Amino acid sequence: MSQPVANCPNCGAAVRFRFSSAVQSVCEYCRSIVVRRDVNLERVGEVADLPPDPSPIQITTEGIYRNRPFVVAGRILYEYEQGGWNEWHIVFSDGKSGWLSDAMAEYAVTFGVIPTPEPLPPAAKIHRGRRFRWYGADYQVTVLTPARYRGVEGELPFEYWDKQQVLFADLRTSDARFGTIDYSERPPLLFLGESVEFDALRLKNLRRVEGWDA
Amino acid sequence: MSHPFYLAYGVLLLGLVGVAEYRGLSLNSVNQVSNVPRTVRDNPGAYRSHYAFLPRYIGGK
Amino acid sequence: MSTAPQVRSLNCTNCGAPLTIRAGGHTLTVVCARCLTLLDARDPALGVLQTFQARQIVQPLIPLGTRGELRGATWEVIGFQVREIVVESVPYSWSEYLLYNPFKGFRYLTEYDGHWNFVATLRALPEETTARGRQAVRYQGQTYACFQSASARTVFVLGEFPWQFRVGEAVYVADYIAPPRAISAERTQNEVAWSLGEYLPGGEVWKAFKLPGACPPARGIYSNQPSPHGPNTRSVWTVCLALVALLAAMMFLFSVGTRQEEVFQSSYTFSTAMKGETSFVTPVFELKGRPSNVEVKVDTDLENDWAYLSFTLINEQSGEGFDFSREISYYHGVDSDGSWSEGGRDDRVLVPSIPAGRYYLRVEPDMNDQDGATHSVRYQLRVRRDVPYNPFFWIAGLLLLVPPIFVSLRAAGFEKARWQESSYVSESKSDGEDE
Repeated sequence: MSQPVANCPNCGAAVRFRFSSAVQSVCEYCRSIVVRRDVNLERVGEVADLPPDPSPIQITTEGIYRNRPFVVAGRILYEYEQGGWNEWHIVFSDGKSGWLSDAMAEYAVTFGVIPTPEPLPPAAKIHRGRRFRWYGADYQVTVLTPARYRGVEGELPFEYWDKQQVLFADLRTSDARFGTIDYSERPPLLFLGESVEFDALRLKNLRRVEGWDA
Repeated sequence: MSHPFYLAYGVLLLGLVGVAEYRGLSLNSVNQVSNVPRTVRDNPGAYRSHYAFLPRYIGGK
Repeated sequence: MSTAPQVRSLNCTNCGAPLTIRAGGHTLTVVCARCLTLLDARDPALGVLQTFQARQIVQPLIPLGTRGELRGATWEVIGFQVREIVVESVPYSWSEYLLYNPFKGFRYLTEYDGHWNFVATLRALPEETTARGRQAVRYQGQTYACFQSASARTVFVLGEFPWQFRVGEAVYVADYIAPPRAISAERTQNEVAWSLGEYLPGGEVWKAFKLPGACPPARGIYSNQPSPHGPNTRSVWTVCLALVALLAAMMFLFSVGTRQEEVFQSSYTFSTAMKGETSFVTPVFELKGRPSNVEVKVDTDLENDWAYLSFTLINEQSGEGFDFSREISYYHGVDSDGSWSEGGRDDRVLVPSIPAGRYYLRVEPDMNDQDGATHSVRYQLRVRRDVPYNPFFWIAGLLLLVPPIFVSLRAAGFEKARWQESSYVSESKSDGEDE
């Protein structure tokens, strides 16, 4: 896998993109958010200090999902009135990207669904309890979260920074499938996958949590 | 084996019923007497049954 | 095995009291125990969110910071809250302990009147359905019946929480039970959270967290408390069925295995007009086989009259006699309610346990000789040896039913007491519920 190296347009430090699918990364030295535009990097912003991460997952953590190994490449941190959560960008060995959502130590793996199985209702029309039938399963909206982006870390497969208040709708099924409708774009984005147990991911290279053995 | 006491109780009941049936027991009351003389065959009136002097039911509805 | 817990030390913005934060980056709200103030742990300046009033300071039964082993993992108690519902103007409150493990996540321990539950969030949605005319949910093949639904408010809080909230906030809670498990749905405008609880006896909690002393005794019966009688009920009826089947088989065996041999039969007449000695003896007949019963059947032509027969079954050789008597009456007529009848013309008696031998019957008939009229009857005597006798089987059958009925009643009593606590509301739901 090629590892293109370029220089940070802000401080000149080497910025290495470990994943060919990554479009955005963060310079470790000056915390600039840099976006790959072919050969050159463009600085598009600066990432604020992130709050202390409670999760044992960190960038470079490795795991296995459905017999496919992955590496944690980046993270988006969201915040809302009652809390916050991480969306870890995971990259599989075939280069495919997925998302490991980490909310209050509950985990789910989802993948972007393009095109969506049906036109999704607009943010004003979505409500708790709304049902959809996709791919043979009945999804129900369980949580509506008006959230805002709090920060990014590592490599991401698209440009993502400084988004304003965004509505997220969580969906669940009776067989532990999980979905998210992301209203940060028009038309809204859909991610579908399933809830997973921490142990089932067989994570390695976790961050050491003080006071606890893994 | 669950419910050992109930099972024992049930087996005991069945045993009792089996014995009672085998020996031809019944709930009817019978008064046993001994040494009924052979002369009763010739003179039935001489014998007085245990039940002979019990009060009788008289009358209908 | 875990290393010594590391905690972060801060001071309350409101009163300066020291605070500890155990769950690191997860904690969003931390409560100062001294001034009962909720502080924003996300805020570097630890902004004040709310100061609340409490009727009394509640001490958690499991102190904050205690670690324990439950269900194969170590948990640390990091938060405590008391929640309250009001049912028919009566407030009921229970405690909730927030448990934390950085790898396993969060769990809850709820406690009410000494009854404990270990609760985890459900990731798969239960299916809403009805069962026996009541609301229910189905999850993993089990049906959970709706036990209670009410609006729950937090009234007291200590420790730290990975979400932000206020004391006094209400959520609509519906509880569904399938003892020893229970499912709860907590609903607000924008969110529904499902959780699954498993009943724990207080002793197990005390052992898990190595708490001193004895756990508070459990009072009453809790919604998902497993019935001590439950599994017994099914198995005792199974044993009953087996015993009754055996009894039926015995009854069948005896009905086909008995001799049922007619040894004597004759017809007679009697009249009160007859002079002289009315008692008589039958010819001798032989009773064979093991000591068993002797059936004496009397078929009469009685019409609105009665007859009294004294019998003695006498062994010709040994002189053993068996006295018994029968009262036979038959009355019938028509009145304003229709036709009626009383008694019967025919009679049957079983003389028990007669040894084999040569026997004869002494018969002494009698009828009404007090009213001046002449009474007469024609009757047929039939004697059979070794006939089946069913009353013992019926009695044994009834006696066999007594213990399982008792067990079922006891289990039903337990369930009835359980459901007494239910505040199940069938059709009407309180406002705020839009599903």
